[in-house]
Amino acid sequence: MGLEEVLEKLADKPLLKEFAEWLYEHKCYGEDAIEELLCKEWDGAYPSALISDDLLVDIGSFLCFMAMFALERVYGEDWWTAKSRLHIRIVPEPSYDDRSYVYVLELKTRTVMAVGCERKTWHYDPETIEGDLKDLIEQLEKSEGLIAVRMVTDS
Amino acid sequence: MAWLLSEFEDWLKENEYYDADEVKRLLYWQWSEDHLSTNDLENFLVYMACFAAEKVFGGPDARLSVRFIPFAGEASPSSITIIELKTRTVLAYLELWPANFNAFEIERVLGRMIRQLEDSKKLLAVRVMVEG
Repeated sequence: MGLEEVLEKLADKPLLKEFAEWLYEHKCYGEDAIEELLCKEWDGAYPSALISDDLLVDIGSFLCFMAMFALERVYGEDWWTAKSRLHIRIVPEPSYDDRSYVYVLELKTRTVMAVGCERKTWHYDPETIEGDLKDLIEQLEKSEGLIAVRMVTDS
Repeated sequence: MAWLLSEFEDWLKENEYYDADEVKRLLYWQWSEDHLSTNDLENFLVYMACFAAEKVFGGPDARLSVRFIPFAGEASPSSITIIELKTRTVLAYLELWPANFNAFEIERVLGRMIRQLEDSKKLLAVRVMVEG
């Protein structure tokens, strides 16, 4: 299946469609994997067709990509480069049988910018993934103000 | 600083996380790439963080929501993160290469973790007061 067909399936979910394009452009996954991850309900804690030799790495990587995409949307594509005034780290906490998390941290102001996912990834479906992406983006938008205040008050 | 490692050794034994032989192997032998499985490494990193937090903060504080987040990296460094969610504060964040762990390195990491937590204790008090 080509990327265009995958994007067509996501026509009613604009944020997920944008995420699909981002994943493809950044060579995170190929078209078939993007379809498994974003267009269908997962058939376990991760789509069984995509499981590598380390399931936790698979889940953690996907959560990190969600956080990276959300960061790029809010803070621009230089969030991780030397041009940024922030020192951001993404820390995944994947789990097979418990809730999984992804944390976005800013180390200069010691700020937890966002806590994402916070659920079991079993049967993760397109609506839930899109909702979790929106939540990450909202938290990151709020973190801009918090970090700006902390940069002043902490110094 | 050797007292810190022996204090950690006693703490691990008291809490019965490992038996005496395992503690010796973990704290005094030079680690290798496959010294521990991913799961066991993450547990060990959490024990280090819990020990450091207990030293700095004492017991659990019901007013705080503290999480310990271990990460066993393969190509990237491993890390241990301690956060407080009510004030959205990173209490400690350390990147580590466990393949280099030995008695000296473990003690050095514990010392760094404790210093970061001591700094964040003051920061936390200010944030609770200022940000509510």
